[in-house]
Amino acid sequence: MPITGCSNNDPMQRNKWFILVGFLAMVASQLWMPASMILGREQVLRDGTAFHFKTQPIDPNDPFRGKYVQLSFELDHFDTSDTTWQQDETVYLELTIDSAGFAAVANVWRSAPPHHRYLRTTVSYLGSRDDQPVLYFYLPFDRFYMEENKAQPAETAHQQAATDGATTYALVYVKDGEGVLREVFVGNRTLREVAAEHAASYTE
Amino acid sequence: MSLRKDLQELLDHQIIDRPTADRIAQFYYQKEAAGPNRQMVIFGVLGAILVGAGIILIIAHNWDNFPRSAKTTFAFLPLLVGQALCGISLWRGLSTTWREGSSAFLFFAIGASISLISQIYNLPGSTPGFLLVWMSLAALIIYVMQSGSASILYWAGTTFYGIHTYSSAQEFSNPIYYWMLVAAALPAIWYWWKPTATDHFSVVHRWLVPLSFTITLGAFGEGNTELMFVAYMSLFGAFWFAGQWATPAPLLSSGYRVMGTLGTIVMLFMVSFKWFWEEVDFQKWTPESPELWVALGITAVALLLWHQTRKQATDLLAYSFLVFIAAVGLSRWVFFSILLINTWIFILGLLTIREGVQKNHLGLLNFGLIIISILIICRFFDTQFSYVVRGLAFLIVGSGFFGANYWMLKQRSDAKK
Repeated sequence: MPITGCSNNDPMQRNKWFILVGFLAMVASQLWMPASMILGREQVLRDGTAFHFKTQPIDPNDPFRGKYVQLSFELDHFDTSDTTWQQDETVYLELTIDSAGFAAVANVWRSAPPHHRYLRTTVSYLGSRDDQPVLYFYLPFDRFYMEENKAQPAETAHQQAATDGATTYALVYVKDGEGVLREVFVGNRTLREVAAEHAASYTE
Repeated sequence: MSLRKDLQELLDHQIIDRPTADRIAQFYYQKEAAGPNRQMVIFGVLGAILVGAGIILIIAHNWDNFPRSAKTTFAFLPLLVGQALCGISLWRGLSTTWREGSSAFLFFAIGASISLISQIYNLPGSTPGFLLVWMSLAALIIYVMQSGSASILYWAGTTFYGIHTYSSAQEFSNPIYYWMLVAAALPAIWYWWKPTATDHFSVVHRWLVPLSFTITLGAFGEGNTELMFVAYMSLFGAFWFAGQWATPAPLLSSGYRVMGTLGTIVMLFMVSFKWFWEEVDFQKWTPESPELWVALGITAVALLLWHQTRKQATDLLAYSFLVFIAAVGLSRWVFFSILLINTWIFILGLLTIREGVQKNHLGLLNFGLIIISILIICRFFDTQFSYVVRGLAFLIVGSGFFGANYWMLKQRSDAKK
């Protein structure tokens, strides 16, 4: 069905114009979705605030999106006096940096606070400690994608580093509720570098 | 070459003369010469796949060394190539092979692009969310390219999404979204791959669509899952009526009809057991139950389809969903529900046997005998008959199988003489 030829009044010509418009709409929508994913993330990486979140990774596998290292964070709770929080409720974490240079939660909100350094996430559950309510939450940047052959050595390297007392953390840029995971570090080196070293020494 | 052998056989039997045989051979020789060389095409495609795979592997090996901008460019490449191929296929009016191939490539390219970008930016998210976005973007390919392969892939992907909706714990996991994806694809089924069409794509759709519905309907079950039995029975009834549009196509090409028949039979046997009516409580539903509205909606669709096909819908099996609804209505009195269902199955078996005898159809005759046999076997499990009685019943049914088949075959051979 070539889109050339006939006069404007020809039904075939109108049909071909519909197909052309449909094709352009298809192309536009298919390009717009990944582009919007990228643009939003790039803006956070460019203009967001960098935070270090202490991590403890494990290693599952997502069948569709490749090999990744599952991250779990020490920062997963906040002492609160509000007992009305519900599971899966949206929560806004106001972030700050503690004396050790790592990310900490200054406060939790039910709506976006009036500045850029907050993260939008969901409540895991409301627990208690020493009869005081504790709000547990998820952190959305819990996957660090790596090349397939490196993810397993990365996990091993990280566990070894934790045993050796090295500090592991995720570098995350935060802006207006969005958090973009940039890198994972073991001490002063990236997890990729450590994993590559570990993989190389394992094969020798 | 079989054509030469066939032509020689026709010559030997003086069906055609030598000049005619030569013209036929020449015609097919020229046709084959004018078409693409199949071996070239196959090896060309294999070569292209290997080259592409090699490029991908080299890129993958050096992936971590590329800057984010390069990775992002690579992520868009499959999408752009797929769209370009589709555009060229449309613009130049290329063959169906090109159109279907480029559509399938673009379908997978969408998923690949989203995956790569998710990896580059370490995006969170669930598999249902990923599938939902992928299928939403792929839906337009079906209509723009009028592609059967894209539609089949779309239905497969949508069904896989539907399976994930059984777990509502995941983000974007909601059966409503499945039905929205289905609604987006239904007009294509209506216009191009009708139940009455006989091309390969239409036949595949006639299996894929009912299979997809059957697999995913259960995701609506939450608190009042008992009503999903009504929904499923009505669904199989709807399939049966929809399959009527496929006649006179061969039975095996009508997935609607086969799934409607088998689904109904299996469910009827399942609900013929005493334990079913004693354990399942049909009285506890409320007007807010989503299962109630799903069951009502599907029953309405089944009745609408019956209305469209009522002149052809002479098989009593198709009305089993109404019998089941009546049994549900009587479920406060368990005995009557059990009696109704078992009597209905027995009548279906007898009528199928009778139809087989009348039409001299061994398949129908044996199908009816199988129905009655399975009914008897099922009753052995929830009744207290002695071994002697059970043994006698098996003997009678088995003898009936032999006798009926022998009798029909004898009738046929007598008729030939």
